[in-house]
Amino acid sequence: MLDDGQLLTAYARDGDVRAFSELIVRHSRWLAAYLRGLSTSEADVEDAAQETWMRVIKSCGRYRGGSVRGYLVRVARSVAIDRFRRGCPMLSVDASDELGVPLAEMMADDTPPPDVLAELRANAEDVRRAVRSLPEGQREVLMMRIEGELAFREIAEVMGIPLGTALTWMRSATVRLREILGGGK
Amino acid sequence: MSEEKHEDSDLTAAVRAAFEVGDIGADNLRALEQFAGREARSRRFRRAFFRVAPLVAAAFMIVATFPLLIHDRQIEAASKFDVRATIGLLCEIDGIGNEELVSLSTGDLLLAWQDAVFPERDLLDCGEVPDAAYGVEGHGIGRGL
Repeated sequence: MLDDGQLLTAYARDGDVRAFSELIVRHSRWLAAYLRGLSTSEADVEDAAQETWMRVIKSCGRYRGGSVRGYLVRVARSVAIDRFRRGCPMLSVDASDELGVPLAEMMADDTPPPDVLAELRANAEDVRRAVRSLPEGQREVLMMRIEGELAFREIAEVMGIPLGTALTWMRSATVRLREILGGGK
Repeated sequence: MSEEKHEDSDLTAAVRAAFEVGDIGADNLRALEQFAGREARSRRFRRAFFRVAPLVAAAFMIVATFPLLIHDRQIEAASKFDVRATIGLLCEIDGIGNEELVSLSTGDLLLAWQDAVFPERDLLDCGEVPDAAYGVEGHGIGRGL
């Protein structure tokens, strides 16, 4: 059985559509879930997933080996930036870097109000809402790690942040989610 | 710092379950396959084009250069002919035509004509040499070596 890299190369080099189809079948679920985590609304997710695959089809000639998951996340992330961030003022990773705001301070300011916290329940909708309440950088790291199963080094590379920051954001996201969902300290 | 410290398996499972989506729909998959097929064909065409284009360009340049070269040779030949014809005409006018001249090259024909008409001048020498050096007076141009 061909691995992901071989499938992508088979399509990029030889135009093997069946290989690409196999790649879609293998990765479409987690990729859509990842996009769902980045989106603020459910409506746009299917289109975003479709657009991600179309961009992969168009740009796969530039794939030069390495993790296919990482490559897919990169493309999906750029789709998400184009679609979800448009007209949606959210905390930007770059902005935080430019302003030099300490991460802890940035996260402390972002705590949901108590009434919102009380409303949340540990069901799927609550989890989704809790994830979406995270600062953008933390949410991206969380989704890349959980849905994309990327290594932290790869996440840091995709997001253009230091490895330490990726680890800190993941930890902060986990702590925040546990707080919000009332599942631990 | 180990990666496990930053994760929580229950939370991971909860997030996965919350954002879980179904398999890609058959229609969507088919649409993507069709798009992939079209894009692969177009990529093949582009690759073939860029592989062949330099060869076509080189062939075109060669083909385009041939007539120019031929034309250039024709001009050269014609000009040679004209110069020779002109000198031949001058020889005829000055009454120095004989059968030996026919076998001479264009340059030699010019010298023969010049020797006959202007024996004191070397038309091929444009340098200014003192007349005294050749014992010739009254001419600005001396004979060459």
